Amino acid sequence: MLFALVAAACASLAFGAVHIPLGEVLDTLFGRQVPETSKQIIEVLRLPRTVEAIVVGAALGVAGACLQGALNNPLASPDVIGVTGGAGFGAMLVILLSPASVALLPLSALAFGLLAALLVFLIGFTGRGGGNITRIILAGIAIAALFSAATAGLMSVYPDRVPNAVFFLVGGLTSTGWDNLETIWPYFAVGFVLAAFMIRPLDRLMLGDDVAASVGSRPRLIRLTAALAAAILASAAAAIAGLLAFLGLLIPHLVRLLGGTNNHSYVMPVSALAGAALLTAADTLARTIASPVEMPVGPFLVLLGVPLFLWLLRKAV
Amino acid sequence: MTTVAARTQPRFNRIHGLVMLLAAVLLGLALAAPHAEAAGKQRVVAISPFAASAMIKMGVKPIAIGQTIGGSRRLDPRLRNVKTLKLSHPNGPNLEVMAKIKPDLVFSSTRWSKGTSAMKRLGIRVVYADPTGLGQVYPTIRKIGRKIGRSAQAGRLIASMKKRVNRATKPTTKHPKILVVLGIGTTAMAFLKNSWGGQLVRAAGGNLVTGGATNSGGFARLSDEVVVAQNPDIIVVVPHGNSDDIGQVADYIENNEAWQTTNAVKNGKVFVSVDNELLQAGTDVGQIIGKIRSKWLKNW
Repeated sequence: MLFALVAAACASLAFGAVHIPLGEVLDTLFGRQVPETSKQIIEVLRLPRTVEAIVVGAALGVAGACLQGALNNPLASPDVIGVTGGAGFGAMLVILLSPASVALLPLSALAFGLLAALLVFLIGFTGRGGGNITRIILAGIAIAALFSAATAGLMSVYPDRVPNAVFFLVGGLTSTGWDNLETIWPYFAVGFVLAAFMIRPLDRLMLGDDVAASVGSRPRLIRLTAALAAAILASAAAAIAGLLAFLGLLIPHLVRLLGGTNNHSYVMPVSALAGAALLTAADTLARTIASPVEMPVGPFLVLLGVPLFLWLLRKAV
Repeated sequence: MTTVAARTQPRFNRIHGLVMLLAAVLLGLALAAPHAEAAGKQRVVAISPFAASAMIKMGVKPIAIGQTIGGSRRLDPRLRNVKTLKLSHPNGPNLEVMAKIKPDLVFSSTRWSKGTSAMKRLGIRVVYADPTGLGQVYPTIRKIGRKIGRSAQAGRLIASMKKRVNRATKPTTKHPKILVVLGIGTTAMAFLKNSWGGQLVRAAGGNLVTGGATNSGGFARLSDEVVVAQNPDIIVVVPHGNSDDIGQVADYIENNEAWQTTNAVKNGKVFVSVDNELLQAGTDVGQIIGKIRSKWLKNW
């Protein structure tokens, strides 16, 4: 998987709308003298975008693995805890209501993604029967529906501005330099660290709540912390790349089918690598296939990921 | 007998032909007369701002016009007190409102085509009159003139517009590279050669930056790499609708890290288009081309 990620990253740096000889790409990366335009394209556009694709892909892979482990549900993805709906609404608020403040889009998407998750956690984890998986999932579906309806309402009020929103909704990376990562990286860092701490507790949770409790674990706390890590990672990913939650659903399954194990010390890091590799490869395709026009990455992600997933699924069965 | 018959046969044919011709002329007049009368009296709604502007310049006031997005400065003052209909995608005007005001004829746009069949079911004639290219401007004015019985006025309007356009498009040696982008968001949608704004910019002498991209819709999400490589001298941002935030829009583009290396940003040549002038066709084509040349292309 590491090899796949390195190959995808190399392709992402080497290919783009403007042809730059491989030698010039390498010279730029090693700080040697190259034509100014090539240097700008590699340093300002391709390099930050490749790093974004790696970070976002890894974040979504880990978020999916965390959630599927925490909720003990193979269908869990960032959609289930309302993050996608919330982030989409946050982005639409900026794009449709105040397009001139588009620099605030990542923060707005992040804030509303986290707000949606917070609402789901409040409903799902508090009160009598709090922490019940069905209750968390149903609360997530309801909150996601609420934000989706609000988003649809906004879009119907401002139909002329919708084209600008499409790329966020179908998911896509942009070449905005390091700006987005400079703002959002602390959230990724917190999310990844939290998720890393959840590897062993999630393994214990796989044995069942009673068994986990008997060895001193607190299932409700593990579930909440893992879901929180997933919410932070998925919101941060949505802030940068729009709504690509499908990656969070697909990647952990793909990794489990490839490795033949559910152990989180394997699933979590390999999901990070696989998510990063798949998103980086899909983004390179999206940038180059109809060059100089850029396509949204979401459909390419599906085109690359689903056949592989179905093939593995068939093989496993 | 044979001789007489042979002589009378051509005469009979000639008389028969004349009678037929007379009948045809009378029938044509009979059909045309009520139509011409109706053209003067018919209630017309001009959803497309282009049709509203053309109508008023031909001396006919529509009973209602479609709302104009992005300010009303381009709206003819004589249309300011005319009922304005709100438009929504994809139907256009509210069909119940249309049923209430009962127009005979609606000048619409293909962008509202989904509502056309419903309007037709309400007994309203619908004619598309919203050019999407410079080549369609004069034929559309002629069509509007014919439909409202003002063909002569349409001809005069075309003549005056041609004069202004010819003045505005005088040959120039300045052909700066211009990137025109629609709205601001996470993606830059570039105006292509077949877009309304792209055609105006090129008519003004600008060299439109498209990276060779084509799209029947006239817009495409252009790679930032192409923008950096083609290095536009001028960037024009066309905001969606509201242009109150012009300062913020220009700031955003100037601070966009990806484009900071372009000549346009380095030399402060980032402009914001207002009043939908690069999005919505109007009868002020010559004035807008002139503005592009005098305000954006000057000092280049």
